[in-house]
Amino acid sequence: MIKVTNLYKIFNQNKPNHFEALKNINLDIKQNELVLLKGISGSGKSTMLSIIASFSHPTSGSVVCDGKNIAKLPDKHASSFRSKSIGFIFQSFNLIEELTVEDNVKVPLTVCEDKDISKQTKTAMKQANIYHKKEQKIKNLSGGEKQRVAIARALVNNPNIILADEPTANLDTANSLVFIETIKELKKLGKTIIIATHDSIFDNLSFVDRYLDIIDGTIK
Amino acid sequence: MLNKEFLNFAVLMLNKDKSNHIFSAVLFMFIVFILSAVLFISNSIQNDMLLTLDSQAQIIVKNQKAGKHTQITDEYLDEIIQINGIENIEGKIEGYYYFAQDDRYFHIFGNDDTPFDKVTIGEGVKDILDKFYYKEYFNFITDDKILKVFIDKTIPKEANIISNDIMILNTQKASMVLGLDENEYSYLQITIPKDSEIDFIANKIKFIYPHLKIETKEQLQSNIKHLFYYKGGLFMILYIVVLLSFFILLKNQIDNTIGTSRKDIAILRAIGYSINNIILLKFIQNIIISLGSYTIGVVGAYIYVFKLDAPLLKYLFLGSEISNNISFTPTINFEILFLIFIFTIIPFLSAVILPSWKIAISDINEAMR
Repeated sequence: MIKVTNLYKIFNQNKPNHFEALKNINLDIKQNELVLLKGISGSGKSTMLSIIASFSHPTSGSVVCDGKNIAKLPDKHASSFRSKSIGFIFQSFNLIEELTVEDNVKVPLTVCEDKDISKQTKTAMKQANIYHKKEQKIKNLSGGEKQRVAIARALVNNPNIILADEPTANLDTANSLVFIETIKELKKLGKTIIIATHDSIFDNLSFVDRYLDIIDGTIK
Repeated sequence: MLNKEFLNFAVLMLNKDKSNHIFSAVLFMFIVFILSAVLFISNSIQNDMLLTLDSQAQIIVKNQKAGKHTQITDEYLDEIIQINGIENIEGKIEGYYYFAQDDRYFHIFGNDDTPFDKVTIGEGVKDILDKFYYKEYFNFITDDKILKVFIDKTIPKEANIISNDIMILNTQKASMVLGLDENEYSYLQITIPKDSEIDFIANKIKFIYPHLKIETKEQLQSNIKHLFYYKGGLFMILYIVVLLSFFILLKNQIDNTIGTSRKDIAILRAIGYSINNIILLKFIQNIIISLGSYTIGVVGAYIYVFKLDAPLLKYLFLGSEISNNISFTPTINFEILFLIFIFTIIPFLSAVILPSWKIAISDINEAMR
């Protein structure tokens, strides 16, 4: 499903502030696998997710998703890959505050052709249990509700891969547990999930397939 | 990639930041309004003057003394008519009468068809005479006598912009009002049947009478156009200053909004928008703003100039010598409107789209922070 080979990410290469964020990462993640990347801030887990999501290019190495090397994709194809195959849940939700729940959830579909936008939006909102708030503006929602909108938006295109970067960092314990339940449900739906976190609430979860520790840009 | 949902989303995002966009739109509208209003007025005046000139003879002969235009005697009539190619020559009476009570000048024209004791007046003159209770007649005060004329009719204000300060009198009466002798005229008007001979005949008269000033209709038309080129030049400086101010304000506006825009663009990029999608989104939003503002600006200027008679701005063109109770003849120069369109909308779109493009190509993680 996702095969990462000899991956390096170097910021400010050959400059005084040269920094190696990822060093020789090799990883093979199978379909429907749930992988937890654990590590302290600055260890490289967010960089790893952003490369898999094709937000940024690696310095060297390859990332193959569904047989396609996304490491060096031109913008048009990278965007299309993000739109069709990736659902990304951000630490700070990254929603458009002045828009309603429904408008936020359907944004990824506005650049896709031949989609039943209203049906898919409704399904995603129901999956994330936020349908009842569809008319509400984001700025009027609680942290947990915002998280559910972010999940609905990540699911709206029915992607195979769900990536979550510190998803519980802005949530209280109760909402974090709700999020964990949601992830469990998504795994049941056959999604491949990678979560980057340093939250201990994810420790020893039975449905997590693998825990990977990232230390100083290297998987231990 | 332009579907209904994408367009709806563009409008939704436009509405989200409406307070920021309203500022740009109002500024844009104001600039286009000013540029278009000035253009409409100058075009209208120029066209009316050129139309008036159309009915004039091909050559005008004027006398000069001490470098100033002075009366010409009828002895020239008999001599000039001898020149081959001239069909007709006529002495014309035209000049200005100073109306001391209101400190204004009326433009006097002599016309053989006007009855001796009657006068036809322009709308502006009528307003002034009404103010001084000259409802039925008017008294011209000359050096030695008072000449009474009855007001026959008023030239409708729609007729012509330059008829506003006019008084048309019988030729003989006009001579008396202007203090000209019977054998004196303001200028001579020559009719030439063949247009190709106009310059040749004009040069011939100039050669025979080097002290006279000879003007062909073509030269007069060119002078009118140059007068407006000169005004156009002045206004171009004004335009440039206004446009520069506009773009400085626009830049400030962009800087103010770039913070929220940066994050929105990064979010859209992260959830599947390509760089082209972002540019298209910004293009749609700003074409709505600029086209809307442009249309309102031009339509507003049209109403201001041709329906409301351009209060305040008309004094820049006409002066306030006479009551400016005039109407501008609707004239639209589409070429210049198109130029205004190009010189406002393209810089506006560039000023907004370029920063958005720069954000779109930058690192998504960085832009999202």
